[in-house]
Amino acid sequence: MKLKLNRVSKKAIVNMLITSAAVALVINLIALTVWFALIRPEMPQKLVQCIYFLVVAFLDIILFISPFIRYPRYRYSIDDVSIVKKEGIIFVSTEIAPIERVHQITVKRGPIDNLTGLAKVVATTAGGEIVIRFLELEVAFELANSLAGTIKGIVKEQANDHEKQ
Amino acid sequence: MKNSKIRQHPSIILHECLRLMFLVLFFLIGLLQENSQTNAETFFGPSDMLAWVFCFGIFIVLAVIAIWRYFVWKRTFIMITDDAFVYDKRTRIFKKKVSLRLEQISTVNLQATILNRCFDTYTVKLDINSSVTADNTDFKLVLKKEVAHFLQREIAAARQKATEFDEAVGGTLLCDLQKQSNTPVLRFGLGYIVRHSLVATSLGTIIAFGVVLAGVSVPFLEFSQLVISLMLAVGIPATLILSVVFIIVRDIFRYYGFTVSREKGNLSVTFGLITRRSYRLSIDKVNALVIRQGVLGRISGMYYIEMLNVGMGEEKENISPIFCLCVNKFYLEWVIKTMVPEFADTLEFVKPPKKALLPQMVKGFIWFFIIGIVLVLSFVALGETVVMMVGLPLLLLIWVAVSYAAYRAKGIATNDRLLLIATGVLSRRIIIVPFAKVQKIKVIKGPVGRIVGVRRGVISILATAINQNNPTGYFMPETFEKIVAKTKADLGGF
Repeated sequence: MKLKLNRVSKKAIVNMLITSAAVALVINLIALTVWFALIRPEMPQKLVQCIYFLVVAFLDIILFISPFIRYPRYRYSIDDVSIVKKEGIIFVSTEIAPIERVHQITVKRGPIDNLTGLAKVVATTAGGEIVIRFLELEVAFELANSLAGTIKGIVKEQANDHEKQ
Repeated sequence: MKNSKIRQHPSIILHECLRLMFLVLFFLIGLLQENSQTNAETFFGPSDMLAWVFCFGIFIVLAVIAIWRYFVWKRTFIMITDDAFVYDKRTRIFKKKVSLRLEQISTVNLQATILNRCFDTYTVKLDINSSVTADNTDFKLVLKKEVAHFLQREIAAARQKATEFDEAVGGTLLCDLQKQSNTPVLRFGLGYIVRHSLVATSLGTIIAFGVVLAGVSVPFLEFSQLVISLMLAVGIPATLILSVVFIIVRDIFRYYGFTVSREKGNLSVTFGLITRRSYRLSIDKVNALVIRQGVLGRISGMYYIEMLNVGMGEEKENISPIFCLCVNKFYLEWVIKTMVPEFADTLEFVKPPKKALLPQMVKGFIWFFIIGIVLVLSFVALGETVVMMVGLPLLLLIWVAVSYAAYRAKGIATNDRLLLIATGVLSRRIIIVPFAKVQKIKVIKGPVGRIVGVRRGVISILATAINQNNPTGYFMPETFEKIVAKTKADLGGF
């Protein structure tokens, strides 16, 4: 069974890089605080200092490389039956939810999404959410409307059956 | 009663202020006890005065809360119409009106505490079939007994209508059972409750109780050499026995008169000695059954069943959504076939492929590595190199054994309607989920899994946080493809 999955907008790389930069900033600030508070005065050994720098540098490098691995692996698919999302860097996960179980559709935009002109569609089921990120704003609204339409159709069909009874 | 505005019983004010009242009482008793130990001259000493002022302050707060609650009670009404439950709160500051279709209510729980019994009332807990509020009770009301029973009857009738509609549309197994006029009833006597306490309680719980008991009793002992020897020889077994007795007594109070009955599409579960709980739920709101076997249960061949439904059980009070106390395999099958035939089927478990052992072992290796590092560092610091030489191979052996046992414990079984997932090395857990109730499926491909060609999955259902996500272990990708296809097809849902 091979699923045909769509790629998200190319702006996603910029979005991911900005997020990585923000995370790297926080990590480096914490690292600097720990450096000045603990390591520098308490542990003057060169080896400890080297290991500390290497760990922080490794984290920074990983953060800036990850968008280029994450983007090609981030895929999604929405049809009349189900929503599918595939993502991950080391552990690649595929989430599947039947459309019939979706009871809420939301289009969300965070500050970084606003900067890059992207949005995310959140499909809520009773067993959790499926969040499809990095969508162009128009695509996000189009998807949300089409999903809402499909769900409405299912509900209407059930209501018609009820009326016939 | 129908279509008329009903106020809750005034004793709800007492219910809501009870915790604070206990706090004041507890504080007062403590204060009086302290004063009785000192002489009369210091009775109104500066520190005592401060305590009395504090106590008076709490009393004033309590009075304000009680007055506020009185106004809330006076302006809060409920109404039961032909198809809806209306909750209308109209205080000057807060206004809330909720209209809920009766068939949307998944569980009606009638609870009779001592306070309820004094006023001839029930605490009625209503739960909606929603994941957003699955961990909390949606509506908690205090109603006169006849009003509570009326509400329960109306909700059951509305749900009956809804499932009759399902019968017309889908024609499912449930509907065949609905046509039956007999009402199966299951009653568990005192012996069954004691057996359940002994078999279902995990070793961890007994040890935890033992530790608490020991912690309470140790400060009263003087630590001479003799006492320490006595504690080791007699104290530890005695504490464990006391813990078991305590758990049995607790379970007798909790599960006394455990009765399960089914009337067409509705299930009733009633239990409790002092606080009597009575759950009434529609079978179509049951999302899964969990068959559990603790360590002692595995030795004695006993099982108990939990029912996953929004509203069953009380996580805050550590009461699991129990549906059937400990029984043997034959009786277990009988209970499922009689009470919940929608979940009954004879299925063969598919075991994980041999190559699933590798990712399972790598997963366990992380723990082995962390514990190993700690052990090596500790032994090097203590200079116990000989112990380390013995300890490390032993740890390696434990890692291999546990990983293999975890690999062997996993299993998946499916038919057109049901999905069964078995997990657990010491305590076994088998969850039975109808495909119609599967909400989301997650299939994860890790680096080791990618090499050997296996995946692991997580099946999400509508339940409280603890039971929402159910991991499967490592299986072939085709197994998950089959699960996804059946969930999408939604075959034979009820």
